[in-house]
Amino acid sequence: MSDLMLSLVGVNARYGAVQVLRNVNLEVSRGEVVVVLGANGAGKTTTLRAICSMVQTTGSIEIQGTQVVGKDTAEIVRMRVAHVPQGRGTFPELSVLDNLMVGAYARKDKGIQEDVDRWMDAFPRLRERRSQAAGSLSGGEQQMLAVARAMMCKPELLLLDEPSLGLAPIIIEDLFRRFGDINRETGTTMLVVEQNANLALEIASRGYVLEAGQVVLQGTAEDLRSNEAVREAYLGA
Amino acid sequence: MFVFHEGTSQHRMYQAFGWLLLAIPMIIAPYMLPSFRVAQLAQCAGWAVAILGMNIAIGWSGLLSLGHIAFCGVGAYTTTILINESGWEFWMTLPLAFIVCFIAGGLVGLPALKIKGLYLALVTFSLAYTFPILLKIEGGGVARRTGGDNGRNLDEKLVPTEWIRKLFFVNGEGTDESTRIAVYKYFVTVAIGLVCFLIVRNILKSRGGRAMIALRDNHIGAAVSGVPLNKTKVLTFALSAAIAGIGGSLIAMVLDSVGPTMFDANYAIITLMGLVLAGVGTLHGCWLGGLFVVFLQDLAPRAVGLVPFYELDVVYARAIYGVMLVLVAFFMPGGVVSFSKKWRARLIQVVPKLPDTSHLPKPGAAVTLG
Amino acid sequence: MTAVTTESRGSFLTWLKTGSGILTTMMVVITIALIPAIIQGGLKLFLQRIFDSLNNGAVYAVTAIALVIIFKATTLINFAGANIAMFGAYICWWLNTSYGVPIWFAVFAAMGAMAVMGAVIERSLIRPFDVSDHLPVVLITFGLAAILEAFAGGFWGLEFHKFPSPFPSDPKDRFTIAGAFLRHETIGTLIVMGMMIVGVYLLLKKTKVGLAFRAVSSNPESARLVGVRTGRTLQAGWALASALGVLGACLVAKQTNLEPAFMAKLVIFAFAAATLGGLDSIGGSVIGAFIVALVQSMLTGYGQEIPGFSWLKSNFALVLAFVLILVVLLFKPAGLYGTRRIERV
Repeated sequence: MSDLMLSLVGVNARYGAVQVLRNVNLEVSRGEVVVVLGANGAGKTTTLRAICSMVQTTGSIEIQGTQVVGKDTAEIVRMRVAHVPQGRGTFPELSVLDNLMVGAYARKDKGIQEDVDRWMDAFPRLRERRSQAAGSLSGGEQQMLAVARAMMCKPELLLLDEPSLGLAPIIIEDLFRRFGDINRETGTTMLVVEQNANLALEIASRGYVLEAGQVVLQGTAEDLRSNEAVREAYLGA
Repeated sequence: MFVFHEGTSQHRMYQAFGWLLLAIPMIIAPYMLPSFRVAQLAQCAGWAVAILGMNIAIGWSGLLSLGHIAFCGVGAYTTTILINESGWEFWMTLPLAFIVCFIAGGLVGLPALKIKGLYLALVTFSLAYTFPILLKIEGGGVARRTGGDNGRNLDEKLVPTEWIRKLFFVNGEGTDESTRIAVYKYFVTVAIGLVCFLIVRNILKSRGGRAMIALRDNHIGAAVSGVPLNKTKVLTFALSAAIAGIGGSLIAMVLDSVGPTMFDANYAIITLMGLVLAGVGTLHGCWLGGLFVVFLQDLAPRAVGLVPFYELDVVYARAIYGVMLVLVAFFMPGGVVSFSKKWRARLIQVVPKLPDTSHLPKPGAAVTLG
Repeated sequence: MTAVTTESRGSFLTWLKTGSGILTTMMVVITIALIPAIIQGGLKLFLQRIFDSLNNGAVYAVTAIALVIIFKATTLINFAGANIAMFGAYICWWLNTSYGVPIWFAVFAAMGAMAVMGAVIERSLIRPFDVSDHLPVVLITFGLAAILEAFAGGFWGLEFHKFPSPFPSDPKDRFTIAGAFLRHETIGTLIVMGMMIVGVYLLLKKTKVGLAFRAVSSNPESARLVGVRTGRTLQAGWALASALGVLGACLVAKQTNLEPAFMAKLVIFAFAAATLGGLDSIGGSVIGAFIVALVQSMLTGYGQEIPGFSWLKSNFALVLAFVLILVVLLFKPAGLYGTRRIERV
């Protein structure tokens, strides 16, 4: 495989007195799509938050070989890491256009306007509603906005936290198809946390299964799909 | 390290000992101290009741009100006007002060409680600011009844009756009349204060009290559990205003006078500091709060004089308040009560009694259906 | 035909419930209430009352904006804002009278000094606390207010000081419109306020800092995730608010004179203005400021003319402002132009 985009070694994370992650090891190579599966409360979201330094973390987290534990979130974002948090994380009072502009906040280059056009082409609904407040968008549109906003920072690593949450199945399918497209077209590395294992394993090349804050299983998408325990717990088969 | 099991006779002894430790100084102090100190202590008790009222709103219901000083003032002025204009006895004015403040609290609470948090703090602080101006309105005879800027003296002072003199001042030949009155007022305020504390304690333990606290901790959760949000909030606010009003009545009685500067924005902050220093949401902390309100004002100007090398103006006394407010926020967010509880926990441990579960089915016993 | 009427009536009722609807209703009520007084006093006097209110309105607006900026960013209310502004005005006066610094330089120097102080306060006293925990912030800002008041009194005394006017302020410096006087000072204050509002608007809408600021106020967590340094942004908000407060204080100090509590006495009107207009709406709070000032001016001015209301004094306007707040809150808890989000903070 090619070079490492992200590697977590022995990561522990805690919210105050509650330890959520225990000795998590995880690797993502450049250009890969990796999925993290697990039940509610298994620590999936916390894993993503740990990568962005949004939670108290010990251990080693390297992004493209740079140690990021203890760094400021703002600095990590400047290493081209975009995070689409659970529940979209859009700015409800800001217009759609401003949401995209704020996505490019960490960038200093001149191509921002081009990228706005590009992502509005990719999601035409956003162009229609460009001056509307983001809070007035439907759930699916907000998720599109969240993804477009994340892409505005030209990420090399995109962290997606349960993008399917609260969306209609037909929209989810469309959304995952687009993730696949984005990955192919831009080569963006993706780490996706998802409950909808079927869809996630379709676009992912590898996956990890978290339980009670620990990695209990890992393998290629094929392996996971054929694994008896995974089938029973997450694929509903 | 002492360990007590809840419900055992040792534990009851320990509790009784604790209460005695509190009660004895409270009973002896007025006989030992000079009369102006006794009067100050009586004021403390009055402020304690006012702070108790504030605590119902701020501590137990999470309604951050800075305007309770105004209700305090309403109580004080109600008592004064009834005594001066209608010739009522002090005792008879208390229920009316309670009712008037309850209604005033409800009237302010109705719109103010549609908002939350600091927004509420802002609006209620405006109330505290406005109250002294209200007193000076010359229309409708308001300023004539309140005395406007000068305030008013109480025409009928509270003096001990003959049998009370016999009861409290058996060897009282030596003491002068002003001391006797001060001591008498002290016991009256403390007794009324105790009644207020008992009432509030029982309310807190009641269904309504639990609804109130639930509202503070999680208002959405409380709403879906069937707590009527607005009704509970307004009633709570009205009750807290009413108790604060009683506090005001007591203060007016102790001082034999009322004035607009006793119930202004400045005092809103001082009482808030008293409440926080003593402990937000603690019942008995309110007594300490009363002590703080009275004695901080006594001590702060003197503390300024103690600063070495510089001869500081008395205006810096305000800076001492300010520094204290900041320090409390940083280092004693739970106030003195939680601070001392932490230390007591190292010395004395009370093992709580486990709830009686004998009537419940044993976990192993399977339930047979049909 | 009937259907159209019902519909338009329905939409009229809906409009009445919007901020602009309530605002219009309020203006109509005020005007009607004033008709007898206008008839008695004449148009000239009425115009004079309106001119009188402009100056106060501008000052309340500046102070209210300072409040709104901090509230928007952090949902916190800075109770020390008035005294930060007061302290700044003292610095300005002190630079001007003791060192002969030209007045506008002194104003800017004081604004700069208090901006630094605002930033330091945010970093050292506000940031350590969780924003959802309101009590510490109340204690700290009130504490700061007390400290600043004490120090102003300690350094410069409790007596009144004459504040140099930043505008031409000779009694002759005025325009005469339909017999009423419009002072150059008032126009100057309005121009400065207008420039400030435009400046704040441009800063928020057109600059990257403004975008970051709006992002932080809208969703702090997401703002961090797009790389906004939230701490620094909030600090900038406090600095800006403090500087604006000083500007407001310097504009009004000529009329009120300097003393340690001069802004604390005024800020309650700014509170009323901001609550009325909506604590998270800059435009709303400006409108609120002029309404409060107008009501105040009319009450003070016409108190004597309306029979039976001779007891109306200027400070009674404060009572009315408070009643106004309560009534508005009853119908529109977020204020005339605020968003409803405030309700569930």
